[in-house]
Amino acid sequence: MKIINKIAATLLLASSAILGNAQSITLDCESAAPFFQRTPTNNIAFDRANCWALGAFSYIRTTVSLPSITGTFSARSNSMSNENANSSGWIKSPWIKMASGNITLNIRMEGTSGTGGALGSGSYKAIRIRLVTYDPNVISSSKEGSFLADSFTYLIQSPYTNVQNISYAVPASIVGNNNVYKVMISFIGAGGNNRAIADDIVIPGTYWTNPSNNCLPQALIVDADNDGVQDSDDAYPNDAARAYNNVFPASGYSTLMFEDLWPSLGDYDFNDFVVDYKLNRVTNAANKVVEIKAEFVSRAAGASRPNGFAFSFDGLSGSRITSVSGNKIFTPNPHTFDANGTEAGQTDAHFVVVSNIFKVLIPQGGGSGGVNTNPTAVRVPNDTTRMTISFNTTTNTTSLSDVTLAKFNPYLIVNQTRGTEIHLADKTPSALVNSALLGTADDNSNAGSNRFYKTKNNLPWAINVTSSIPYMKETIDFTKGYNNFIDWSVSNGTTNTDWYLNLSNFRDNNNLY
Amino acid sequence: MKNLKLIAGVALLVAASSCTKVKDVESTPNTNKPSNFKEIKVADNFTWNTTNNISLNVQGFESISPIRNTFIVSSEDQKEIYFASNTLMSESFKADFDLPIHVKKIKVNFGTISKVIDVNSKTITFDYLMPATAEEIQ
Repeated sequence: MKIINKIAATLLLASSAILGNAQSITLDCESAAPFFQRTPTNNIAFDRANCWALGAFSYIRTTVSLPSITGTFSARSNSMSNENANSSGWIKSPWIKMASGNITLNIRMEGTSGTGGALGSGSYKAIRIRLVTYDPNVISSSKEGSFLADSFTYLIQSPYTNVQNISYAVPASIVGNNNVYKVMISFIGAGGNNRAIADDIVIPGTYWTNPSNNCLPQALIVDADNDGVQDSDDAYPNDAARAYNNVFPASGYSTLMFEDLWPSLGDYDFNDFVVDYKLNRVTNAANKVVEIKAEFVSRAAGASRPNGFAFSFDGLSGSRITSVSGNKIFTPNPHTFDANGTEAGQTDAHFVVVSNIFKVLIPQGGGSGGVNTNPTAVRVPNDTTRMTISFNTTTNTTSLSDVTLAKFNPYLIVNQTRGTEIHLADKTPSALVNSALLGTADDNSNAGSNRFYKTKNNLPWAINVTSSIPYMKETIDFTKGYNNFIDWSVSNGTTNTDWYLNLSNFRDNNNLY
Repeated sequence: MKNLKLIAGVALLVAASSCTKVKDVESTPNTNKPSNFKEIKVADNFTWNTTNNISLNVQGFESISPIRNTFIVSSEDQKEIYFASNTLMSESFKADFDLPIHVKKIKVNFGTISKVIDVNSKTITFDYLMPATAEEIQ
């Protein structure tokens, strides 16, 4: 009973806006999408997108020798020499709930060949209008059923090249019966090589087609939480506050790798801290970010100092955040926090993930020292930190574009000294950085030109790789593990863009942990 | 006989010079290629990123009646979802998402409307229109 009530309460029309009064559905061949010029090809694409279908028909732009009927464009049949209304040239409407009135169109022939005879003779041209029923049980993806028995055939009259208005009253039996129909107009004939020009098709009724569902009729959808996202698309079908997962990376994890001797150069094994991560930016039916579920897997700390790890999204204000949970803050630490869990004293929202990495990757034998970078030493299990960052969804809301990877700004806080931060190349340091360190030793930062954390040769102190990859054994240069990395970097990223993939001869596993 | 000697001499000379030439090319070391990380030099604007932030400009389509559905950007095999939103077909908007740099094609689905798009720039465009068939272009 509960299930029945739930389904009954949550059946929604795919589009509520179609519940208005009956419309007239027209095909005048004149429209293109607003971002395209009006051309025969663009206009036909526009009408097809609204689920009109045309068989053996094209559109023409009016010329002196081949004028349109009205406006600038008309439809033009192939030669009307086929008497079979199913395989001759035809125009078929979208699904429509029929209203009372007349189905009308204008037509003229291009010439006189194959005309003059009676229906069924060897020389005639005619229009046949039929109504197609909807049958969900047919195998065909169009779900077109049989034709209504009632149909209309019009023999094109002399003078054939004059415009003739054809009118057919919608059968009273289907007006307002709540079923959907397509109107199929066939252009049949025998003899000659004569084409028809057609225009101004008007059908009384209400458009009842869903272009985003194979041009099938508008249907009821199941939406258990009534948030407007149908259950089949809703990652949280019973939670109206959440609808979609937007995970980066789209599968698996990404890997961040740091050198921690900044502003001096290190050994470039990039294993002073290695952490995998994925960010699930959960959005609601209004496409606003509800929360970020962040997962950080600390894998290695080939460092001698107790570093911390934090991140921000460039430009994301702390006022958008309502709470932060799941992060690992150990005492003592160099941080203070606002009530919402973001770090105090910052301009943007900053999130401390682990205040002391050696508290989650504990050096064996006590004290400090490298963890999981020397294959002969004891292996310490990876540590996973799962954070939930909740966003304000009523005011000052956040869109996906505010929390892209391009704005993701992870960084190391060195040796529990809050002002010593190490970011990815050209990522902005936080408001709490000791700016006196910028541009010293091997660092060639220049805040005035937004240049940060790069040497004079533009080398970084941290790398962010979109896949989870193995890191280097202690003191082994990063380029000795990834055979195509140098080619990628010296090409400035234009070649070897797959250097990080686990493909044949891409890695030297002897040098990887 | 004299001619034969001359031909043999010329052939020997050509062969020798060819070998020398090949040997020269093969033995030329690539002195520009770094041997370790510290020797790498890159352009100032190189980002070291293994992802690109892609802006997909979606050109809305004003259907006869409003149609709402889920707009999905995925890998071509649809195993990886890069972007999802609840969207009116008539709405023009920009979908920002991050794409691994080795991915050169994406698939866009809006219900049954589906297109594969080449990613040849950081700004790409999608519309809901399907190309006319050959029959319609006749």
